[in-house]
Amino acid sequence: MKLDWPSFSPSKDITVHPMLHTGTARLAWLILTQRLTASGRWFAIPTLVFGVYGGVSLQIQGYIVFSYFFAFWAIAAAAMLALRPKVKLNALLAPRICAGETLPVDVEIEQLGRLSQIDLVVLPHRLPLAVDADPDGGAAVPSLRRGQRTRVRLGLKCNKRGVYKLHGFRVECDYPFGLLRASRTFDDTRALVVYPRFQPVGHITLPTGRRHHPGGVTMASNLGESFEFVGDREFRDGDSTHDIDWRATARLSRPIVREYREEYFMRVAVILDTYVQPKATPLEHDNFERAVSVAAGASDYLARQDYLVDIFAAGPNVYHLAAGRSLAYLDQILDILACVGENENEPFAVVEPQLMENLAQITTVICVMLDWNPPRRDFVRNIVSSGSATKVIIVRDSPCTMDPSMDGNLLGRASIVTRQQYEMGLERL
Amino acid sequence: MTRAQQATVLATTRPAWRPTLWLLLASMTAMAGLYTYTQQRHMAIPLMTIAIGLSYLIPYRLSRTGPARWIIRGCLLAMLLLLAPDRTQMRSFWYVDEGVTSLLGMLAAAELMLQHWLGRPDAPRQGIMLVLCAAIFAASTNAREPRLTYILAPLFALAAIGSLRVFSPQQQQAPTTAPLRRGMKSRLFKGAAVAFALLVGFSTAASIESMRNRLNRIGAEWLMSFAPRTSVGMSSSSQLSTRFNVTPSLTRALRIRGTRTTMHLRGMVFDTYESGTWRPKLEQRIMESLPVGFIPPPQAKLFQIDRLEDNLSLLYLPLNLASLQADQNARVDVERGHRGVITCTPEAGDECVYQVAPGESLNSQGPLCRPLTPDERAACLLVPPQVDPKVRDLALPLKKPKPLQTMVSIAAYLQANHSYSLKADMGEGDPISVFLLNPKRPAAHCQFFASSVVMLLRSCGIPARYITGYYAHEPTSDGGLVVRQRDGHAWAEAWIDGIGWMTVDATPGGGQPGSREEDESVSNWQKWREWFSDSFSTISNFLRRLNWRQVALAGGLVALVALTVQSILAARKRVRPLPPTPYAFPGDDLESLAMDFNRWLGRMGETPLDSATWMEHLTSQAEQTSARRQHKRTQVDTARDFVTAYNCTRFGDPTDPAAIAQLRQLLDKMKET
Repeated sequence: MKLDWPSFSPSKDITVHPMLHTGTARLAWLILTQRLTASGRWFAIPTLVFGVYGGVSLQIQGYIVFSYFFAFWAIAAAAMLALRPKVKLNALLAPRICAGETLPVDVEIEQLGRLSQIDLVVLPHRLPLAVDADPDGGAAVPSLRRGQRTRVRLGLKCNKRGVYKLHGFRVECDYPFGLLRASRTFDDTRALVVYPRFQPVGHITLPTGRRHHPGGVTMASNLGESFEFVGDREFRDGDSTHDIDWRATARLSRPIVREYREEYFMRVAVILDTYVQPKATPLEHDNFERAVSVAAGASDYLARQDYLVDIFAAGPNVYHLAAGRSLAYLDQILDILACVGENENEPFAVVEPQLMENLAQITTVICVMLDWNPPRRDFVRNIVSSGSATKVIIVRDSPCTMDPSMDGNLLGRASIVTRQQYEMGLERL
Repeated sequence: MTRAQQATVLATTRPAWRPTLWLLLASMTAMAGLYTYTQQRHMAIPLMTIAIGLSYLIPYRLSRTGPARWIIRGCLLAMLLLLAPDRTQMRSFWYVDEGVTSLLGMLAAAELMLQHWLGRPDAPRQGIMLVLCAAIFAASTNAREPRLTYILAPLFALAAIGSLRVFSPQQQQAPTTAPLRRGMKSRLFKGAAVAFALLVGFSTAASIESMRNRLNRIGAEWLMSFAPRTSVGMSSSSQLSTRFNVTPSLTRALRIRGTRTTMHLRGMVFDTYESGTWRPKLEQRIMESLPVGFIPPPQAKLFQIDRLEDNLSLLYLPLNLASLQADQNARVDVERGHRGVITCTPEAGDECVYQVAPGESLNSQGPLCRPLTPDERAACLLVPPQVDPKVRDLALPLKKPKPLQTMVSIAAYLQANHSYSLKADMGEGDPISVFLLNPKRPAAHCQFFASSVVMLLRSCGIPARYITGYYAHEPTSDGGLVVRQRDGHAWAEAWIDGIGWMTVDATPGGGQPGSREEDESVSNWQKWREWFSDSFSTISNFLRRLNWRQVALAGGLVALVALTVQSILAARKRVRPLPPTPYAFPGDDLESLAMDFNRWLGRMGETPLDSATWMEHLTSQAEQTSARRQHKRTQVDTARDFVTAYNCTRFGDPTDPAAIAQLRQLLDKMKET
């Protein structure tokens, strides 16, 4: 995997960066990024130039320029110790967002100190590597008097799906020269769930119709989805007296009952293949991320239609979703997809027994696969033999290990999603 | 609008292409410093200053892509090198070479000017420009009238602080509920802080200046503490001591190319022993010039010795030397008499390199094996009175009928009865007598063994002398040898009638350099450092021989090659075909179909948003249209069918006339309905 250099951004948590192994390296980088401003880093270069050149000998007059530069540093350091921000901070932000989007954060700041402070900046503290602050250097805070409040808007650009820990916010002051930062940290640990970025799928052709779902109507979330009135008919033995249409009975002088049709839903299981071989190529990692997005898109499609996802399996983990359409199972699935990781072992041997126990009530199984090979074929064959229809979506750029068209009787028409197709948008699967 | 808001507006009205005026001040200060440093000789400095000033008025900027910037950079470089003042006219009393500093300053100034005109139109690279300003100013602080530096330095520091404010986040107004206010009070405080910093800076500089001499002395002492404690080379007189090379230095003394034969390389030769010290000192010897070296015999196999470090300027040579050739510019002196010590003083800055041809065998008698005169023979047979007479008693049993056998017998005796140690017990009295006559048979180092051999040989009537030098044994990867200070050694030479001078090394085998356990192996880091040092000195030697015009020509050639390569790459980039797309571009037929369909959608009131595809838009419309609006639903469904068919053709075979005709037919039908 490509490893980026540690960021110079003051809001990043560089302590988790794999390149900074040692405590000394971390401390040096923290000083460079969090204690020195961008101006300070640039100012440090001429200071070093004059210091080193002038330090060769005092016959060279570099020491005179160095003295002035050093004086600026000394006063900036003294101000850094004296002008620590005295403020109160409260941040408002949503706990979930999609990858690639910018999460707005409203930060309310109240001045507590007697002296009104200027050149204040608020920024996130120790952001994960996959989340960027917007603006990168933090948002400027207006000068406040004691007890005065203001609200500043920040953005958190979430580049990659996952569940991240936010460590709170920091208020900094680089007065008077903008070289060194005095800061106060407000520890406000909270989780941020970044859903995978997905495109809505136009249509998924599922290989079976509806099945009766006991209690489906009571779980219906939309208005108008209730017992549907079909018409009147004559009373037959066994009909409930609650259904007698008394007006029609009176008009026709014989018992007439109202006939209703119950709602039917389809129950679906979604299975995501998470097997990525050790030392996989970047393309294979990319395939996996795309498969996660396709699974999210498929779940989104199912949520928009009259389908219920009962089971969601990601790799070796099976989740039973206590789902009706009113229970927001899409959120549950996206939560799972946010933190699903790659597996270095084939997950089907683990998943299959758990899945088979629950397949009796499942009408269709959607399998998002990363390849088509004997273990996957056997897995799909077992599902089909248990009576459930199967929809296989293969997310892959290169040719599969086995040709899916050879298993047409098993797969029907398998959908293969390449990178180009994915980027063009998935109109139909 | 308040004054603060007005100030904010003014601050933000600076055009994006123009650096701040603080940076202009820093640039001007640096250029002024350089101009005064070069004593107003270089007219290019005012021209470049004007060019920098113009860049603040003219919004035109050179493209950052393409070869133009490299051509200009190369031209500037060549021009500055060609127009560089003659180094002979420069002031030699400056601490650092004035030619070098002024040239570096000029190059930085040219780059600063270029950066002003190359700056990105949206964000000039102020950080880099400031660093260049600092480089120019640093170059000009080499030495000048201090008062001028006292004026320019605070101005430069102030401009540097001011120019870096562009990096502050406060410069960009945040979307807050209240405007940023920077009142008069904060400005006053900031101004006071700047004034205080300048005052502190001035006080610090003045304090340093008042203590300059003392600080310089302390610094020199401190630097000296890092200097290597062991000097490289031989002593001008060899004194027997308790320790020898206890902390062996890995510093290289010699580099030998062309042979891997291990050998004794003699540096100093002594024949007079007085109370534990071998004399005479080098300074007391009579040296005479050796202008042409020793002429090599025909078909002699030469090898080269590079003397890397030596404190006495000695040439280290094997005893069986046949010929010697040193650099023509070097001064070579040879000692008059049998000792034949040779020194070589190269020209300033040059390395001492000499070619050596050994004799056919180890016992070949060359120019270093001159026969002894009667006086010299007497000196080489003298056993001083301070040496205990019992030493002679010890030697006599070792005497054999032939001198060569006696020599072998003495060496064998010492090796059999004494062991090697870097530390020796001096005892009281003459060290050699103590060493030889002590019944405990003490261990000692090579100086004791060599001195003992000399005294025992002389006691047996064989002329002998004492030698210090190196034992070359460490091979290098390039097929040669390297000699380090730890390879320092002492041995003896004996005059054998009928043969001549012969090397006698009586030090036990384990004590010879290369076989001692104390010798550290050379780390890879040390080898890498030596390789880097050699490469650097090779390049610097090569460059030192060039004059300014050759340097300019070389720079121009490098720039030309770089330009050629870049042009070729650019040309290749231009003609490179586009990567194959997964689908063909739509032809005219499909394009007109798409336009017609868009128009139809518009007539139906279904104009899709730019952000949505046809299918996304139609699907959302289908979801929003209630079942009762049957006509509308039919329209949307028909449109979706058309889009599906269009996509199949568009991304399938866009040139299929049958599919296009079918699409046209479908669209016409939709229009009719």
